[in-house]
Amino acid sequence: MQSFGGAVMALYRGFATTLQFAFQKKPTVQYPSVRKQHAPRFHGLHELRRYADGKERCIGCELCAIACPANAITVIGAENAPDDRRSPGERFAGRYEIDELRCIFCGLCEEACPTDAIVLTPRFEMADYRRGSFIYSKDRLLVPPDAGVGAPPDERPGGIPADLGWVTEQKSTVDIARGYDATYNGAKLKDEHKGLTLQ
Amino acid sequence: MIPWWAIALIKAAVILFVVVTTFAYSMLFERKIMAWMQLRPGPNRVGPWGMMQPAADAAKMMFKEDLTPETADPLIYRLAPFISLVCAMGTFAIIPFSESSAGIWGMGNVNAGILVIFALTSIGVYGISLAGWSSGSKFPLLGSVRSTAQMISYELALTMSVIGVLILAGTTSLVGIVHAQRGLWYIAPQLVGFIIFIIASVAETNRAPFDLVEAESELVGGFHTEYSGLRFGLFFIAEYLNMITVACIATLLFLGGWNPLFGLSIVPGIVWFIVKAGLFIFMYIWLRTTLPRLRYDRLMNFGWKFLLPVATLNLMVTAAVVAVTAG
Amino acid sequence: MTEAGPPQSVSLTIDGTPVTVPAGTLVVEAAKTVDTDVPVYCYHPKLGPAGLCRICLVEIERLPKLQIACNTPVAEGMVVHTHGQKVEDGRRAVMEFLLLNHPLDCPICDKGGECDLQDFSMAYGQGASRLADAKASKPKALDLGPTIVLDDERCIVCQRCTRFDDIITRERSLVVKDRGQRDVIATASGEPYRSNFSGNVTELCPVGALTSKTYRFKSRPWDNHRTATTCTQCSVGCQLFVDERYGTIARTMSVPSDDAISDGWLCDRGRYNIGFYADARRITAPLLRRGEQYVQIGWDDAVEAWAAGLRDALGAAGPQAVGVLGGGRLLNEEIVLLVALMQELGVTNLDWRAGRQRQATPGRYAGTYAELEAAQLILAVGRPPSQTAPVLDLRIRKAVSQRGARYVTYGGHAAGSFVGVTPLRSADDVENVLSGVERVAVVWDGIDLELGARLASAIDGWVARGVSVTTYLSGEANNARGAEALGMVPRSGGLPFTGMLDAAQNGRLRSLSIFGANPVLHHPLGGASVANALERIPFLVVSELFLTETAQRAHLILPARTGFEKAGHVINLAGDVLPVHQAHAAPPGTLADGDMLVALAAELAAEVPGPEDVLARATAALPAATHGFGDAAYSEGVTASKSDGMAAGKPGGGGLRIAVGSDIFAGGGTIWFDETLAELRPDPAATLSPATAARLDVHIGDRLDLLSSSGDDSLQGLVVRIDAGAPDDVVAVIDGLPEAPANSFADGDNVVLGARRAADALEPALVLP
Repeated sequence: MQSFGGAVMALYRGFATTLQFAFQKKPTVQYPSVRKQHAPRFHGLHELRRYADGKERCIGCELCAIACPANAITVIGAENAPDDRRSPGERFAGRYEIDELRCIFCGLCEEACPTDAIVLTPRFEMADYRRGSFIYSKDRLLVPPDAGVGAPPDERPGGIPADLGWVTEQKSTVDIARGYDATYNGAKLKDEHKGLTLQ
Repeated sequence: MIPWWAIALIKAAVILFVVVTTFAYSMLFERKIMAWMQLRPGPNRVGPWGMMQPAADAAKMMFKEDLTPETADPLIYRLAPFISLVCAMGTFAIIPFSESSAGIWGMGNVNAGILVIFALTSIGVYGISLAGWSSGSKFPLLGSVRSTAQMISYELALTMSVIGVLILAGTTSLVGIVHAQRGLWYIAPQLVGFIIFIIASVAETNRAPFDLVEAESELVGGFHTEYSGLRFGLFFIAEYLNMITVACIATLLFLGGWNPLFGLSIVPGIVWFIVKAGLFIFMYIWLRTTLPRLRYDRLMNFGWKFLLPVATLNLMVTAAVVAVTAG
Repeated sequence: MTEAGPPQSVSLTIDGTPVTVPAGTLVVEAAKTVDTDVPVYCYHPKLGPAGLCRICLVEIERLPKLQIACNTPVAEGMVVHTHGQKVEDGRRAVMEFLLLNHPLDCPICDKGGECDLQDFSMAYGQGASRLADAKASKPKALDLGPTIVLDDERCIVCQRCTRFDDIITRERSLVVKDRGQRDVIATASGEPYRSNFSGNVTELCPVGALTSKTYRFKSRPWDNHRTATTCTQCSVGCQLFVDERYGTIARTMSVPSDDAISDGWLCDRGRYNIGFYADARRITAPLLRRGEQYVQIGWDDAVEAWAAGLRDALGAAGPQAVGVLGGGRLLNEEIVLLVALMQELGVTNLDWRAGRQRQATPGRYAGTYAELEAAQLILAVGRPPSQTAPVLDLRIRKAVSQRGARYVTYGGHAAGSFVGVTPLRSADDVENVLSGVERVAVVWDGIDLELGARLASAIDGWVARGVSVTTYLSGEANNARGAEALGMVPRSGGLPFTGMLDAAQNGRLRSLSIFGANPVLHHPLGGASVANALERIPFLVVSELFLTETAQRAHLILPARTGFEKAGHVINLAGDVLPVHQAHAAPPGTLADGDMLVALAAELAAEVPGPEDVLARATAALPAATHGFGDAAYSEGVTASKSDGMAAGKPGGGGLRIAVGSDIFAGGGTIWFDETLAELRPDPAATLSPATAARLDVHIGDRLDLLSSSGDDSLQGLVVRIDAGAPDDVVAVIDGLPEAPANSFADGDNVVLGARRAADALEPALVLP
């Protein structure tokens, strides 16, 4: 049982804390008008890449689907027609669908892919009113044939894809740097002055 | 000559308009304050600094579908929100906001005003208990049972704490009580009574940390779980109006009503009144952000085993002191 | 194989565990008795050792070098180590050679995930290749035949496929061509690889070199939802696995442990005829005829219309005006329900015989497949089972090639059998080959009852002489034996189907319900007369998958389910009660026949047995039969054949007689609605001997018409083929082709040559090589 004085002190400390918070600077980012720099290896919406000659990298092997811990990927293979070769080799993805509502954006599909076809871009804005629209099929996942193929998404001309809208202000990346410090490898890389390309 | 009833109607309309606007902005005020205390900016999308948020909320409430559960008692289910609202609004007919050359700012000066207010707020309990009972659903029923028990329990302590003031003032007229505080506000002689009043009034209005009536984590929404749309809005209005009423009573009984501080009588009494009531409302919000919700048995134990004896003791001491000094 | 005495036991030690196995056992088999794993590629228990791949190296004490477990017989006191540093090193070296030219295309390989090469690379491979030069480039996606694709880069030349073709099917068409790194699997003739059992090589192939066209890139092994069930394509009753993915059947696989029935093999019809399940032409709503059109109706309305039609017929003319045909393709449970419901309604006109087959129960000498394999003489009477029960034929080939049995046929024509077969022409020949034989297996096609009766009396004679005889009946419908056993036969004075057609012709049959049967295409009365009779029935109900020739005559068509879409039991030709499990969700709107019958019974307020009762009756052991082949009980006045078929002597006046045979890819129905197998459907062909062709002056690729001697029936546009083994003065045609339905022709009928067009007059693409 607490003493009476202790109880009063506890009450005082509680009320002081809330009052003090009321006058502190708020960390909220006014999101659509103000944007934060994403982390360099941010995992966002997927895309399917192509080779320089415009052929699809994806061969429909389903290794991403079996690697996916959330069972979000569905691939059904198909055979290339001799007069309409979609990918090098015999097989291509007849259907390739990702349920972005199931996806946990872990990036294991990216690691499983033997042809570097599926990558996670920094794009993250895919809100919609219909559930069905979160099932991304090839028409939305496959990059257009002229979209800077071969380069990692961050190094693509224009950087982040252009659909991010009007960016009025960029938040500082100090928080991200702190996040890197918090991890063993991040701190080590920073000490060695390599690997961190913030800002 | 304007007939007396026309004046009463105009006054009622003005007061209702003011009171409802106050409700709307006290709600925004609460959301803003709470957000700040939780390191958030709070509503800021509708209008500058979110000033139009109440209007947006009102529009949303009005256009939402009004659902009646199949198992509900249709008549009482529809009636309950009005009972709550009418009782909450009725108190404003008696509350004097200030004095003026033409009498008082308010509807009327009832000589037993404090008693009428308690009578009206007590009837307001019916709104909640009937709403819970008529919803035909288990969570609302539990919420309303809690509500009834809680309001009856704390009403005793509340009344006891107020009687001290009445003994000191020697009147039950609210204007009279304010007049009696021209010299010393009753918060000083009745500090214990004031603290008991704050605690009991928070419980009476079902506000955090005594909001067990609508404890989301266990009762979904309490008595108003099944309500939606405008009917839910009526309960919402009633809750805030009760809060404003209690703030007004506290101002009248303990904080000297419209009496100016530091002799600053150049500032109109109504402003003083609003500032004092506003501070009281701020205290309500501050309580809500700071304190977690109580467990139900602790609430009851506290009400009956601590608050009521202390209030009784306070009353007896006050009565003894008054008797001795008056004698 | 010589008949040895009781096998002697040999004791040896494998990985420290003493084991005792029969003498002559190979080390790899002996190792299976202890908890160890010897990798193999070329070795297969049913193909025997080859010693080609060398991966099964084991260490045997007191032998200086590692030995291959698959070709080393056990010896007394042998001490074998299947693991250890020496063994692992040896296997790693072998793996390195096997992987030298193997492409790294596992992600797109259909075998990836169930590939022995993958598994053993993980276990024994060294992870990186030391080969500095480029890997050999060989043909990929080679079209080996209508069913098989060859990726020659992946081939490790274990020769399982060629040995299967040699040892098991005896067809010997697959060979290894060329030598060294240029070797390639091909047919010796250069023709496409066609076989009734081609799909088995894809399962035997330990790598992804041989893959099925129907399964190509459809799925990965880990995606498949596997169900073990019974094949319902023919009456053999092979056990198989059905692999389903996303609501469609990806493939079927054999059950290697199913020695008793399929011996671990499947025919291509059973393996590949799965495309029809998802065909767009499936009927998926009940269809009611309104005038010349069909309208889609709901099931409630359909059952109501069906019940009303039955009630009208029963009320107007009594139970003898109602008939039911079907059961040969139903499950036991459904047959039980059907029979019980008809019994409740008093209907006695029940029959399953929609085609040529008259009898399904072999009777008192019924034997098992193991007894067939052990027979010294196998006699096939009528149509040999090579096309109607292919896996049974595979067992006959096994008996001939591995057990030294003799295979003789009587009647029919034995084309398509790849073991030494002796066609017998007379009953005396049969008696001659029987001399000195102790175990005889007789396979009859159940078509010609009179022939069957003569056969039965002959068999009785042999049994009386002390010969052990087992009999088999390989027919058309997969569950005909179940239909007969469960009472789907004319009851107490009821009419058989031929009698029903007769009654229909006279206007006495007012309602007929047909379940999964197509008598217009198959009944020996001929398509025209069956259709004519059916059209006279005021209320014809057909439960079917597709708009077949019979369904097109119906007033009410009910969309049925089949095969892998429903669960129950069937009885195969050896009398085994086999479970059928649902492996695949049926298209919405369809209903299993059993469910239809339950709904109909409810609508008619008729009492039918409950589920437990139905199951008990459907799985009950078959009663011991006392009759034999060609029993009078099966007689119904229609003799399918007018003579002994090919067995009789000289042809009649016209000089040309017809022989009607089967083909596993014929028969209309499911294969005609399976576009993935369009290439396998047989053309309507007329096969002649060279002498007959020369006499008639027709050439390969010509098209000709055949007319029956009466001139009523004709077969049009038959492509001429010439077979050196065919008998003279006989033209062989295939039964059950919708383009040229031969069902009104019977073996031995005289036919007349009609119009003919020379191959030159046809577009070149149609000319066969």
